[in-house]
Amino acid sequence: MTAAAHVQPACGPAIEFGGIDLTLGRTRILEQVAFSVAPGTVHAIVGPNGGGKSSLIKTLLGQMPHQGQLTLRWPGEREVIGYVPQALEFDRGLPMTVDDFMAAMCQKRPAFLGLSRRVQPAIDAALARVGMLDKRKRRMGALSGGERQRVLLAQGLIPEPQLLVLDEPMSALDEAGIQVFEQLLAGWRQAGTTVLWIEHDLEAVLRLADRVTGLSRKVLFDAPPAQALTPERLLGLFSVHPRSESLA
Amino acid sequence: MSRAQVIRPAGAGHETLYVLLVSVLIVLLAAGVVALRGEREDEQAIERHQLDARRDLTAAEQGLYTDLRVAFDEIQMLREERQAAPGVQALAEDGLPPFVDDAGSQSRGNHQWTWLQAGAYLGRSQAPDIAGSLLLILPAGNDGQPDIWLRRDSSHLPPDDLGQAALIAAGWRQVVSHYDAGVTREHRH
Repeated sequence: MTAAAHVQPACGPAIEFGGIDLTLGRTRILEQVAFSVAPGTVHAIVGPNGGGKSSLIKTLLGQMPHQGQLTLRWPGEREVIGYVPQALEFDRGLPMTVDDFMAAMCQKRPAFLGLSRRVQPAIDAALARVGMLDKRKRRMGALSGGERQRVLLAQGLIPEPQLLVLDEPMSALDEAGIQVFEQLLAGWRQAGTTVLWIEHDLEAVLRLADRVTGLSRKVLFDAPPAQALTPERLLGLFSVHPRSESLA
Repeated sequence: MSRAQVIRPAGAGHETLYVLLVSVLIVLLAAGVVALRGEREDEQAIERHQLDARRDLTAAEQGLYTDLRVAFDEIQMLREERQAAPGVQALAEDGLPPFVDDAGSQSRGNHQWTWLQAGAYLGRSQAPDIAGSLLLILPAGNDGQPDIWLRRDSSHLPPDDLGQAALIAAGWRQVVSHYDAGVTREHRH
């Protein structure tokens, strides 16, 4: 997981949003969203709350009744999409350990029968990468928000994805967790994985992303971070309130 | 190998289609099973010149018809013994309805029975509105089924010819009975 000595050819897909419209009820969530994500890059999406970022990701995962053409161009045989949600709530008393959660997410065998021998090495490796190996017997509800977010990151690693969709993975992470995440991001970049990444931390986007799209119902900008994240553009991005607009 | 995957909009559209297709499949399967394994409707239609013993006869006629069928067995036995059909008088003396003349026969049309040489008993009704005239044609051999005909007009002429076509032409109608599903399933009152 050191710096990329040689970058492998991209094995992740290219994504093409071709004028996506999304209307839920009478509210226009997305309007003619058109941009593309180059294969093997880290593509960040920024924008205000309610700007349609999460809806765009759900559209990509096939869970929204959108209009318009949305195409994934897979270069190879393997077509695995990893998804890390923003946060998952667990009741403190829920008797589900980290291992149980990983088993439920990663294997077909019922989790109460224990980890399957086939995925055990992969789960061990994923937990080690996020630094949760020594807390694998803890209950999910007893973990801190940052630790839980690390477990969510770990499940996104199994099986090894070619496209990784991250919904604000850093919001709950602590300082150490952010370092773990940055290492993972470097690893994905080296492996040629396409990463679509929703993020609020503009400093992290500037430092880590290859390209950034500003989304607030429409695409306001789509450029490399150094050009995109200028004060004028950011003021424009965060000054509109698309939630108050309606079709009626 | 490169492959373009188009993300389809989520929605109930395809699911509705699949549910409909599955429903159609189930209906077709069920229809196929019914068509292949179902039993035919076994109610038999009767000819124009026939009367259904269960539906088309009056109460008196039904009683006479039943009595004739019972009497037929006796007639066949007597026929075997004597090598000739018994006369109407002999049957009445044996007390066999409907040949015997009693209160029952009087209330059911007071039929006047005669033996026809062609091989039949003819009962002329004196009250055609209660029960029509009846004709019991014996089979040629000792084993066979009786053939019973009925006419409701007040003609008293005996039939010349006991052939089916002649009887039909003369206005007689054949009484037939079926034992089919309708006997137990249908309730006509």
